[in-house]
Order: sequence, then structure tokens, then C-alpha cells
Amino acid sequence: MSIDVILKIENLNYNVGRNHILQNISFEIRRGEFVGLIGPNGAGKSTLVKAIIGELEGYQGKVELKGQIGYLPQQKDFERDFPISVKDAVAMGLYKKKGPLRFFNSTDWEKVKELLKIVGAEELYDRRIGVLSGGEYQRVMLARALATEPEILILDEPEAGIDEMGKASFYELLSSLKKEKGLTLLMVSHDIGLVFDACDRIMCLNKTLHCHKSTHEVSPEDLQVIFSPDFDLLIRGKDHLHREHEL
Amino acid sequence: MSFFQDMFVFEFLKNAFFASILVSILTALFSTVVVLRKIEFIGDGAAHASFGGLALGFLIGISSTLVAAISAVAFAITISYFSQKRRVSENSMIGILLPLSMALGVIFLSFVKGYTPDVMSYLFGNILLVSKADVVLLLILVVIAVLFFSLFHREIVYYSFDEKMAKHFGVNTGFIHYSVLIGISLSIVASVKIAGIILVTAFLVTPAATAKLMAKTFKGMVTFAIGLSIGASFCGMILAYYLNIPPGSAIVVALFVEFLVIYSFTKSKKA
Ligand SMILES: Nc1ncnc2c1ncn2[C@@H]1O[C@H](COP(=O)(O)OP(=O)(O)OP(=O)(O)O)[C@@H](O)[C@H]1O
Ligand SMILES: [Mg+2]
Repeated sequence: MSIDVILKIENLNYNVGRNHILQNISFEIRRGEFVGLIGPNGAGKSTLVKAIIGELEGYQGKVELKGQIGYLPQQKDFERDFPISVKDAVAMGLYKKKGPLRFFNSTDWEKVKELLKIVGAEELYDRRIGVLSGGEYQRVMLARALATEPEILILDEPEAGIDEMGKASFYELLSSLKKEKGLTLLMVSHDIGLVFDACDRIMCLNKTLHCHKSTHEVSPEDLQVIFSPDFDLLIRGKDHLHREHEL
Repeated sequence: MSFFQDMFVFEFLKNAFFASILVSILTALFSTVVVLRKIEFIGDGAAHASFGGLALGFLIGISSTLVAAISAVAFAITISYFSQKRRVSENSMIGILLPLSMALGVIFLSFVKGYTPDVMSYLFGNILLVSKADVVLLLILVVIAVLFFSLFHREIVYYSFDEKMAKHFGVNTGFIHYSVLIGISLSIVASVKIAGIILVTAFLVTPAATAKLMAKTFKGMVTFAIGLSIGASFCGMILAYYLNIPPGSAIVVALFVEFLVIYSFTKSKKA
């Protein structure tokens, strides 16, 4: 595994019963890349992510990871009136380093403030999680993921439930993290337009990996292969490609 | 004679008073996790299972409390296991298993020769049965529970908020999960004489449900829950004394009144 490769997957297969969820997946991600992982619902994107972060059991193949991982899970509905504040939610990301019975001290809370500042959400420090907007919530979750001081950050559909402006500024934040901290990013997304804007490389997944190339090399046919029944998405993707080529 | 004068005259009244305060602390602590994790059904299940256990203990003539504790713990773990498997819904599980453990309990009791304990005492509580040993047992449980909640409050919050991510961030969620299940079950068994099997669910749900309306943090929620629970216990016991009504039921009504009052004064304006 060459020095600048941070993640290497070799011949990954995952079946549930006779159902092939992931087939013969092999790829490498280099340090500093911003990779977009796209594919229709049920393509196996979240499953692949789980294999990478070590939360999938019973797959065949090899997952080699060189570096600390940060993970922002696919957003699920959470209970709006759960009594937890933003600072406590972010501090959750510091737990592993402290361990049980070693309580957070003022240095840790400073660290939490710093993390919130990085994601532009320091004013939310004392807010209850339940009152946040979708965009604020994702920033807080990003701060939590950054708390583990990751070298590679994996995001599963971070744009879900965020409006267009929110999405754009979130992606800008990711790009600046990449630039300033040299962070490697792997992002699952259904927002093909923004993926094409933000990512250096694109992986198209539908059970198997149909393409893995530089963003400007991705052709409409690549999208057609994975999305064929999803014409809407396909058309949006194509539109975007045309715009890209005009530029 | 007033309640407090009587307390020094009648040993049973003193035991019952201290037991009810300890029960309210113990159940209030665990009620926070019950409500946040939405596992009210597990408390209910363990309570009903403990009835089967108590009856079995009577039948085979060994410590009823011990058998009840074992069956409550076993039951709580079984229900939680099946509810995670998701092949049978939690509501179906309750419908299937709760009547079963009650049915078994009644069958066991019908086999007991000679003196049979009064079923009503176990269903609704009977403070006349509270002994000094019960108070000591409760005290030990309260100390352990307070230690557990103060040492592991972060883990408990993370586990309640998002179990998968808690695990991802290195929390031993298995330890928290089983500690909580065992804690709930033992609290129920230890509370039966005060609360009764039917009423104990209210002890395990209402304080935290009310506290959640006001609290912004988990610590706040625990504090409110304990305060509300002790308050209800205290009022319930005194009401029961002067009105000559069953204390367990009086406490449940007091818990409900607290809920109503706080519900109407908090109109989701938590910031
Ligand atoms: N534990 C499991 N048991 C059975 N099937 C599973 C399991 N985990 C995943 N699957 C199946 O694997 C497929 C891929 O699921 P996955 O969640 O990875 O899709 P996805 O690409 O993330 O979709 P989405 O865009 O909707 O998030 C789905 O068909 C899903 O039903
Ligand atoms: Mg997914």
C-alpha cells in the first residue's frame, strides 16, 4: 500500500442470505482527495461505509485503513425533545480519548468550543439539540466527527434535509477543511450537482463499483448505468454535465 | 396524633415511610432511562414477571424476593432481545407475555397449600408488609444506583441518545444496556410492597416524563425526576394516612397531578 493511499478496499463482497448487497468492490483513496460516492437508493452505499468504519460484520475481502477515521452517519429522525445540549453532543466525540470514569475538564470544553468554531457554530454551544435547524444539526454532527481528530472523514448523505443555501455553505466548509487540514473526504450523496461541484473524484455504486474516476471524466453513460430506472436523477446529472463542459 | 408522631410509635409506619422515599429515588433514577429510551414496556414486563416469580417462590418455599428478582431480570432481558430482533413487535410481545406471567403466577398460587399471600397486596402494594430488611435492601440498591448514575451519566446519555454512535465513539453500550435492564428489574422487585406490580409502572414512567417537560439537560432531568418522585411519595403517604387510603395508589395519583400541573405550565418553550 503506497504511502499516500489512506484507504484500500480489495474484493469486498457482502451477502445477506442469497442477496448480493456488495459485489467485488475494490478501490483506493489517496490522502487529500475529496471523493463522492453516488448511487440509487439501496445501492449499498451505507453498507460500504459501515464496512469502512468497521461496523459491518460478515463480509469477505479486505479493508485497509491508514489513519484515524471520522464519521457522520446518515441522519435519522431523532427525538426533538431529547435533553442533550450541543456541547454534550460534541463532547461525545472526545469520549474515546478520555475513556470511562475520566470526566471532561475545562480543557475538553475549550476543545469543544474550538470544534464548534471550526464548523461555524460556536453560538450554538449551550443550545439544546432539539431546537437546531437541519443545517445547524449537521454542523454540530460534523464538529463531533472532527473531535476524533480524523485524517479521513466519511459522510453519509450530509445534505439530507438541508436547503440549497445550507448545502452550498456546508460543502464550502468541507472543501475548506480539505484545504486547511489536508483532510481526506469520502461523501455519500444524492445531490449529484453539488457532488460534481465539490468532489475531485466520483465513485458510482450500484452493488458493484461501476466507475471511479476524476470528476471531469465522468460521462452521462456512467450515470446511466447506475441510475437507469431513475430518469429524474439521470436528467439532472446530465444537465449538470453539460454545464460543466460549457465552462 | 399526627403522622410524624405516629411514625415514632409504629415501627411499620416508619419502615413504610423510609421505604417509600427510597423507592421513589430508585424508580425516579431508572425512569429517566426508561423514558428516554422508550422502553416503558420492559418495565411493565419485568413487573408482571416478578409476580410469576413471587408466586413460584411461595410454591417451592424459597425466598420469593430472590425468585422474583431472577424472573424479572430474565424477562427484561428476553423482551429486550426480542424487541431488538424486530420479528415480533413490542406491543405483541406485551400482549403475549404479560398475561402469561400473571396467569402462571395465579396458577402457582392456586397450588400453594395452607397460607397464601393476599394477591391484592402484590398487585397494588401493602405497606404493612414492609420490613426493616426491605428498607435495608432498598437503601443498598439506592446507593448502587446513585453511584451508577453519577459515574456513568455520560455513557447513559450517549446510549439513550444514539446507541450506535455511542458504540462508535467507544462507549461500552452492552455494559450500560444490561446494567439498566438489571437495575430496572431489581428496582421493581424491591418496590413491590410499596408500589405493587400494577402501579410500579407509574413510578418508572411518570417522574421522568414530567421531568422531561422541564429539563434541558440529562442532569436536570434526573434532578427533577427525583424531586418530583420524592414529593409525590411524601404527599401520597401523608394523604394515605389522613384519608385512610392505600399509599401506593395515593402516590400514583400524586405523580399524575404533578404531571398535569407541569404539563399545563410548560408549553414547549424550552430553548
Ligand atoms: N442487515 C441487512 N439485512 C438485509 N438487508 C440489508 C441489510 N443491510 C442492508 N441491506 C440491504 O442492502 C441494500 C443496500 O442498503 P444501503 O443502506 O447500503 O443502501 P444505500 O445505498 O445507503 O441507500 P440509501 O440511498 O437509501 O441510503 C438494501 O437493499 C438493503 O435492504
Ligand atoms: Mg444510505
